[in-house]
Formats: sequence, C-alpha cells, structure tokens
Amino acid sequence: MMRTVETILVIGLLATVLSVSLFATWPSLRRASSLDLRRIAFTTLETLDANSSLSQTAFKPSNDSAWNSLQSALSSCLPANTVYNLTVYQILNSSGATALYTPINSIANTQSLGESTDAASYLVTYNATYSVTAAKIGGTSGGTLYLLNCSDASGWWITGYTPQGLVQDLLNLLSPYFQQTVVVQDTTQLAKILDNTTLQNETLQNAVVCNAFGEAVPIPQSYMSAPVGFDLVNKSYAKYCYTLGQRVRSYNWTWVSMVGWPFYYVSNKAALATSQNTYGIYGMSKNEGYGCTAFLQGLDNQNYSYSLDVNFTSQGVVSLTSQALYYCNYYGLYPSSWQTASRSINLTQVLNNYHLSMAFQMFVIPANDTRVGGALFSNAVLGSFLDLGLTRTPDVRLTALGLLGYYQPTLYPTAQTTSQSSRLVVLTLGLMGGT
Amino acid sequence: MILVFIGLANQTLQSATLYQSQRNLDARCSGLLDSMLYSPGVPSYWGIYSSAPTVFGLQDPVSSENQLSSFSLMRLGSGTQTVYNFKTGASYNNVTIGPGDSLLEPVTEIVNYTAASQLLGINGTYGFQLTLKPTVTVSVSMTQSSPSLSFSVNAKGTGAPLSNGAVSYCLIVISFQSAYPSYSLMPGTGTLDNLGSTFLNFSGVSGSSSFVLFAYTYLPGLVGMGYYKHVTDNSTYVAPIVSDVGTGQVVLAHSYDIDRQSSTAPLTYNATFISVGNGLAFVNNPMQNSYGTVDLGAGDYEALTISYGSCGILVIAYEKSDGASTTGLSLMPWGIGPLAFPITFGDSPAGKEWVSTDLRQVVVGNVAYQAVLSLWSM
Repeated sequence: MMRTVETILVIGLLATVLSVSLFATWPSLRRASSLDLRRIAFTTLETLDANSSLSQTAFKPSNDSAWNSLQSALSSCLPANTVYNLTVYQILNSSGATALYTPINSIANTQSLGESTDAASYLVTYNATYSVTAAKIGGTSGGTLYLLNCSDASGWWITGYTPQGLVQDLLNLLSPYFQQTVVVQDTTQLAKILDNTTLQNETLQNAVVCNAFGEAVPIPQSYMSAPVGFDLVNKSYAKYCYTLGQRVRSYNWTWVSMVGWPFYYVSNKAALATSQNTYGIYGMSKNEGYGCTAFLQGLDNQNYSYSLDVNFTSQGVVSLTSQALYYCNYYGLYPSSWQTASRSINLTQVLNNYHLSMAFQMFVIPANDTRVGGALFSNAVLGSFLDLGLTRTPDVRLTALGLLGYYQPTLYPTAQTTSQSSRLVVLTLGLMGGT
Repeated sequence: MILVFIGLANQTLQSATLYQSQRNLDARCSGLLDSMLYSPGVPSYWGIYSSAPTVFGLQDPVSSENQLSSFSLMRLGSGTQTVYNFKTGASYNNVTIGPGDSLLEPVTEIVNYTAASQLLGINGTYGFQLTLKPTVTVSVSMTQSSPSLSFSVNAKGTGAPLSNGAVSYCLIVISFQSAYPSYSLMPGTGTLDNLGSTFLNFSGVSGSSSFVLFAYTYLPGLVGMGYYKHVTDNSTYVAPIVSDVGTGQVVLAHSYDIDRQSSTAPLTYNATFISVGNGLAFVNNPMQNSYGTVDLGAGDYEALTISYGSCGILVIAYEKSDGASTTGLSLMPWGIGPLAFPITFGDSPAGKEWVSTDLRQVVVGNVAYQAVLSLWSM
C-alpha cells in the first residue's frame, strides 16, 4: 500500500516538474541581459536638446523642415538595430481641469515597435525669454566704450587669458550698456583717439577706456619720444602715463585697469622688440611704480615729476561691499564675493594728493587699514580711474561691476509670456531581431 | 525516481538563480553607468585641478543632464603604454590618435582603474570597462592636392548617415618662414548631401605645404568632428606635453626625447589655440610665448599656458631650423571633445564569463558621444 502511494506521489511530482518545464515561459536571453531602453531614450532626448534644438523643433509646424533634420539626427544617433517612435504632445491645461495631452506630430522609422519596448518622456518649453532693456550710459553726451585690443602689444598679469579674449568677454558683457562700443585694434588707432580723432564717428568725450592688457598699457610709436612719452632724464616711459592722465582729464574719460598694478609696464611689440619685462615677455618696458604716479599727476593736472608717490601693497583676501553685492544682483553679475588683493592702492596718498574721491567702493576696507582692493576714483574736476588691485587672473565680471556700479544704468524689464508654452516629447524605443 | 526528480528540480532552480544573478548584474550596470555620468564627483571641478577626486563622477559641473566634463575625461588613464621622456625622466599617460596628435599627461595626475573602482565601491566585486566613442564618425580625406586642395567629408552616425547636415570647417595652412613658421586660417561652412557627404575645394591653395583641415558636422543636437592632417616632414616633430592640468601649462618637447629615433634637428615653432564658439565657428586665440625654439639642449622646455576653463585645440606649427625648408604641425586637444578623441578606461572584458553592457547618449564639449559600460562579476 505504502509503495503504491509513494509511486503515485513520485509520478505526481514528476508530472508537476515536467509540466512546469514545458509550460513555464523562460525569459529570453535579451531579458536576462537587456539594454536599458528607457535610459537610452531619455539620454537621446537630452542629447538632441543639448542646445535647445529639440525644444525649438517641437514648437514648429509639422511641415517644417526641422522635423526632417530631427528624424535624421534621431536615426543617426541610435544603434542600427533600434526602432523608434517620437511623438510630441500638446499640453492643454484649462483651469481646474486635469492636463490634456494631445498628440500633434510623430516621427518613426517603423510601423510597429514590436513587443519589447520602453519609452521616456521629456518636457520641453517654449523659448520664452525674460528680457531687459538697459538704459544707455552717457545719454546723448557720451556713452562710448573703448576696448583696447591692440594686436601689436603684449599683456602681463593676465595669466591664462589673452587681451583679445578679455576684450571679447567685455564686449559681450558691457556693450548693451553703451551707446557705442569701439574696439581699438592696434596702437595706431590708440594714438588717434589720444589725438582727439574718432575711429567710427563715436563721441570721444566722456568715454570709458578699458585696458585689457593687465599691468601693461599699449603705447603707440608716436608717443614713445619726448616730450609726450619718454622721460629723457630718467630713461622711462612714465611720461607716457602722465600724458594718458592728461588725456583722461581733457576728455573726461574713465580709465579702467582690470588687474594688478596699473601702468607698471608699457608695451609695443615692434618698437620695444628687444626689450623684455624681466620675465621673458618681449615688447615691453618697465615703468615700475613711476607709471601710476605719473598718470595720477596728469589726471590731476599737476606738473610731471618722476616719483614713487603712490604705493600698492598686498592686502590678502578682501570681500565685496554691500553696495557692490546689491549691484551684483541688479545686473546679474556674480563674481566670487571674496577676492585676493595683491596690489591694493594706498588711499591716504591718492585721496589727499590728487583730489580724488571714491565714487564707487567695491571692496570692504578692514579696520585700521588705509588700502582698498578695488574702487572707482573720480577727480574733483574731470576724469575717473577704476583700479582693481587684484591678483591674476582677471575677472571681467568685476570690471563690469565696477563700471555699472558707478554709472548705474537703469534696467527696464519686459517679461514675455505665452500660453501653451510646454510640450511633452515621448520617445519609444524597440530592438529589432531575436526574441 | 527521487534522484531524477531532484536533478530536474535542481536544474530548474539553477536556471532561475543564474537568470536572477544576470538580471542583478544588468541592473547594477545600468545604475553604475548613471552614477558615473550623472554626478560631477567631489570636488566637482576635479577635472581641472591637479588633485585626485574623492568621489568619482564625470558630469560637467557647470551643466546638468548628460553633458560630461571634457577635462575629467582627460584625466582618465588610457591603459595604453605610457610615454617616457628621456630628458625629464618622467612618464606620461598617452591618449593618441597618430604621431604628433596626442594628449600626454603626467602619470601622477591620472585617475587609474584601481582608484576609480575603489571610489565607485566595486573594487574586488565587479570589473568594468567604460568606453566613449563619438556618435558621429566624420571621415575627411584629401581627393586632390594640386592645382588646388580638395577634400571629401563623410559623416555617419551609428545608425545612419548624417543626411543633409551642416558642416563647419577650417583649413590651417603652414608656411615656411625665415625665423618661425606662420599659419593662415581659412574657415567656411557647407552642407552635407543625403548620404552625409560633401566636397570642399580650396582654390588657390595647393597641398605642397603642411596643413590640417578640421570639420565639424552638425544636425540639430548632434555634432561630430573629424580632421585630416598633412605634414611635409615626419622625421621629427614637436610633442606637446601637459605638465600641470591645474594651471594649464604645456611644455613643448622634441620628438627625439620621446622616441630616440627622430632627427635631432632643432625646431622653431609658432603655436595658437583654436576654439569653437557659437554656431561651431572656429575662433583663433593667439597665445603668449607663441614663438620659440625646441631643441635637445640642456635646460627647461619652452612652455605655453592654456586658459584651463575652455576647451580647444592647441595647434603647433613647426619647421626645421637646419635649412631644409620643411614644416609640420602637432595637434593636442585641451579637453577630450575638441578632436573627438575616443576613450577606453578600465579592464578588458575579454574572456570574462558573463558581461553586462549598457549604453547612454552623452555630450562632451559640443560633440555627441555614446558611453558604453561593460560590467562583470569577479
């Protein structure tokens, strides 16, 4: 009896195992090791939208050629054995109701995606822009921005950058705020504006002159001899800096020194080809501290004297003033609020001896200290000077902040709104071949 | 009978267990790939610092989504044989496409496979290989060198040609001069046909001197890059070597110091940095100390400094100063994307019993890449 029961039991178990083996659906090899189609689909959509291309195409009419380009791009970037369907849905969202998704266009490389598919969705938004219009600096009596981009001069203390690169960044940042921006391409053009000749019919008076050459300043060949540019007694081009100060006063310019010790060198690659700055950069001659002193003398209409009256020293880490931080937010400029000032100007000397006042103080002056890491100084009569005594490398945002904080051009915001500004893109992928 | 039953049941259980472990490996592969590509690591700017990361990640820290840092990728060990500099006695990680077109970095600044495994928490548990290949293969070939230069450009994605795409190109021609070589840039744009091909002709320019043609092909959201280089003298060249990633300093070595086979003639050079701006327009960025001489003498190498925050291509035109009137040029990408260098990082999956792979579409610089992770249990 027991043997019969055992036999029936074993037969039952065997039948069960065989039934399971026969009828159980074993996962296919693809399921055991499958590509994550959902993630591939999502990253494909991200790639296609890397520069907002997908977002722009999704809002174009279905007969626009951009859809053909999108399909070509999609076919190109997916593996050859992948089939796809990309559908764009319009999102209609009436108040209080659930969002309604309506398909408005679809592209695919197959009629059927097969059984093993996965999909990813991606929300794109209409390129709605929140734009602002800036009031122009200078009104009708100025508003010219000169950017010194002299190809025949070399820069110093702008390590990692070129003057040309800095000028490009300044152009992008500052040109919306000025009536006209003029890029001074060589020292010949620089000589022209120093001689009161315009380059592009711009207004020369009340301009801003931005020197992107760091501690060096480009010098035209016509300004390299006495009496306007060369101090015969002391064999120095500090006299040129004095002349620059005079011009800044005469034309009521704002002279911008972006980084380091201003006017420490003069540069002209051709005329100073055999002279170097002691660090191996040829085309330069060293003024040392005499250059800046001479500039301030010229700015204050004093007689020229070859002296070291103005002193720059290392102040260490300095922080932006609350006023500067306010203008960071106002103009959307966000440099680090902590900077290293290795060439801070001594206020006692410049304020007392050259009739200067701090029109815009950029950095906090610590207690019992008489130096400032960066500020825009105005002469009591005419002319201004933005000095940023920071260590290399220069940050163009600080230059922009110094100028905008001083001139304070008003921004007029204009928000653009649009209805139906979002669309949903769904990419479904499947793999061809095999099971 | 019982033994037969046990055998059958055991077989079923084994299959189920194997299936589960493979599914687990698959899920692990997908998750690991996402954690590599969707995190910039710590510190987030480790790619442009000389320090090693404490958390591994390749995402571009200034971007979101699937943009990878061109500089973090630059610091991954290539696994190929290092290059030894006989003059300095130092070894360099070597990512190379061809002679004179390489990215050589100090081994000490490289993140190797073992370090990455430890940072990812899989050391001793899983092995992996990460490969990044450009999604679009751009082939550039010269079809005619005289009387004018002509090129054929062909762009093909992994699935199909780049039909009716756009192409932005720049031909740089090197001229022999008495002191230092000079170069001229000839940029332009064109359109690809249905098969992703086009011909570029430069009338008035012959192929008698050294030159390089860079070509970026473009469909909305999908950018590929290729180039063709020709030099009149292969016997010696200037080898740019990254000496410090953090400061962007590149020294210029003589090829004889690298291979001990080249000619020993001194070379004079003229270097520039080409970047790609909006609309894939080529921008020439003149450099400080761009002229100089590379020789075998004692003393330090000539050094250039690259703005470390921006990707581009260092182009070094050189000529022999022995009166041979021959020129050449070396290329070095600053960041992985600008020359669409492929990357293979990690151990080889060859011979492993079960390897799970997964794929993601990513963007490096402007260029579209496909990142594939192969993962196996150890």
